[in-house]
Amino acid sequence: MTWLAVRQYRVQIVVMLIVAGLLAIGMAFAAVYVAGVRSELGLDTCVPLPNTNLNCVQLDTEWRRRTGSLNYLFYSLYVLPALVASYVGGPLLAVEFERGTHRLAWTQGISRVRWAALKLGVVLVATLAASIMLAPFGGGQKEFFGKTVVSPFETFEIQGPALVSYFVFGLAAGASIGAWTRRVLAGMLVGLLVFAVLRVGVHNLRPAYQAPVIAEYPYSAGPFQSSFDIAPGAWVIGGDAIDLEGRAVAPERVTSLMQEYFRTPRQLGPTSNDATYLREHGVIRRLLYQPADRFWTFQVIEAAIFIALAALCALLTLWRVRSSDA
Amino acid sequence: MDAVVETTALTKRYGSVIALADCDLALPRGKVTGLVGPNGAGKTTLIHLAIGLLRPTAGIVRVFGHDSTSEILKILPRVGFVAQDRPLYRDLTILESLELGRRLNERWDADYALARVRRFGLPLSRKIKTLSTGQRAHVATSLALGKRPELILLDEPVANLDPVARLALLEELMSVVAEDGLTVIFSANALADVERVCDHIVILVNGCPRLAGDTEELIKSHVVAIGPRTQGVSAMDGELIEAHHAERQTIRLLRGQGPRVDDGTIVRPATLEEIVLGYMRPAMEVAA
Repeated sequence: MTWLAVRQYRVQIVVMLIVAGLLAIGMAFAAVYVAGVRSELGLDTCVPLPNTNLNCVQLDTEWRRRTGSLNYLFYSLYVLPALVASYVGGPLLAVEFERGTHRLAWTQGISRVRWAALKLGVVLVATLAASIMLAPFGGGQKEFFGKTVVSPFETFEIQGPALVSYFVFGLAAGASIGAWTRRVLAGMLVGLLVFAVLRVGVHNLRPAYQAPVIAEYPYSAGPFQSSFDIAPGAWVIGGDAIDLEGRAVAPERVTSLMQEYFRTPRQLGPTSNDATYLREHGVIRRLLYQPADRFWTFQVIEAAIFIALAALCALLTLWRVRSSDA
Repeated sequence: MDAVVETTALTKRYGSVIALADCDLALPRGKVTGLVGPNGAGKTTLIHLAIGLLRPTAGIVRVFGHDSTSEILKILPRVGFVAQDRPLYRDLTILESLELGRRLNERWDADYALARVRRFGLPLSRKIKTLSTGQRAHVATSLALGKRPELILLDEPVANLDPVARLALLEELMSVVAEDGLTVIFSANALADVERVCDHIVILVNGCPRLAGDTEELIKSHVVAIGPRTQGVSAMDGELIEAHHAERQTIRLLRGQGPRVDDGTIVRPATLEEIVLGYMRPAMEVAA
């Protein structure tokens, strides 16, 4: 049966591996090239002219013009798992049902479940191999951001175990929808839809994987100093405001206080700024964030969720194949 | 009777449509059995139930004494099956299709399968999708016979074939039957094919077996009586199966010996086609 699955999908498998290999090489090259152009142009050491920073802006524009299109290599990683769901997973079993070849396969000497599991398994191994080739390189996109400190969370979804798990889940989701609907088109479209919905759904859950770290708006900051004093590379997931008893304060109240504060001209200083003004009125603004060192924990959690979803899809597929009428 | 396929109160429903209704059947070993009946009579359903592609709604179907739902893996190695549209993987070559047979079956006679496709002069390295319908039919049957089954189930094996290919395939199958003592069960719409090769016949109408028996017995036990047109039924020695009226005559199919009274009725042996049609028509009219 392994032979048959490999024979059936050899073209897809080879294409998948070649595309992944080229993309991996491309991304590795792009990350180095982009950083190289940046230092060649001297962008990070650019000193603005006395009355304008136009010289540095021009350098930046030049840098983006020369390297910007390479960024699409990285953006493709957002799309590829969805394509695997739709073009590899969706038709995997559906095409057998549509062409009636499942009646050929199911009446040889092996069980239906073994047939489906081995088909799925062979393509899964190829998908794993392809996505593992890509996983180390997605983080290279940070070179395009043009910042000295980039949160690893900014490229969270195009690297590491999470990226691999998206591919695995896409394959399993497409295959199960194809097995349930028995239509290639339905497998492709609904498979894509299911993939997208769960992908976006889990994306929205991600900030809550661990309780966020809370920073209070600082007193000591200088005039117009609105940045929080947190370790670099953190993923800021939001902010809120509380009163001195720790109860939530409505955002409207914060907004109106801020408007009041800016209406009245005053001396600014370490003990007299918007934060102190808010606190005088019993409001403390807070920032919620996930520190950079939680990156790998989050990667593992994300991957575990999608691998579990993929396993569920695979079980549903096998159950359907086992129990359904031909 | 030594039955190879045996059904007990077998029922299959698709939603509200009943494909097989409470069907008790025993199909004999070592014979060529034809399943005949109009479209939708349940022929394909019966075959698919026997090979485990479908699960019964109620009742049981046994093949070689094994339940084809729970013990299908005991049945499969002993049964060759060709589905109606003769499914094969389009992108495999003929040789690769036979390789599929070898890889997916514990018992596989590679030389035999290869010899079969060679005998038909099939281009071994051509892909299935480039073959004609007739060529595909030969590959599909070779794949089914390659596991040297004791029973072969064929769903409309000669459908869509031209008369020459039809005859070639049937004769080829029958020679295999004769050589190996194979049991064959096949469904057919064309009565001529059934007549030519079957020694046992099951007539299915509306999901129920209407008649089952050995061909010779059936022909011996039925007569056609053609007499003057009458509305009533005159005294007959036998069971009236069907009567239909032409302009001046009434043609009756009878199980038994025919009329006792000499009223000018001509009595002659029934052909298999007349028997089959005679059993099929009334049941279909009731349904209609």
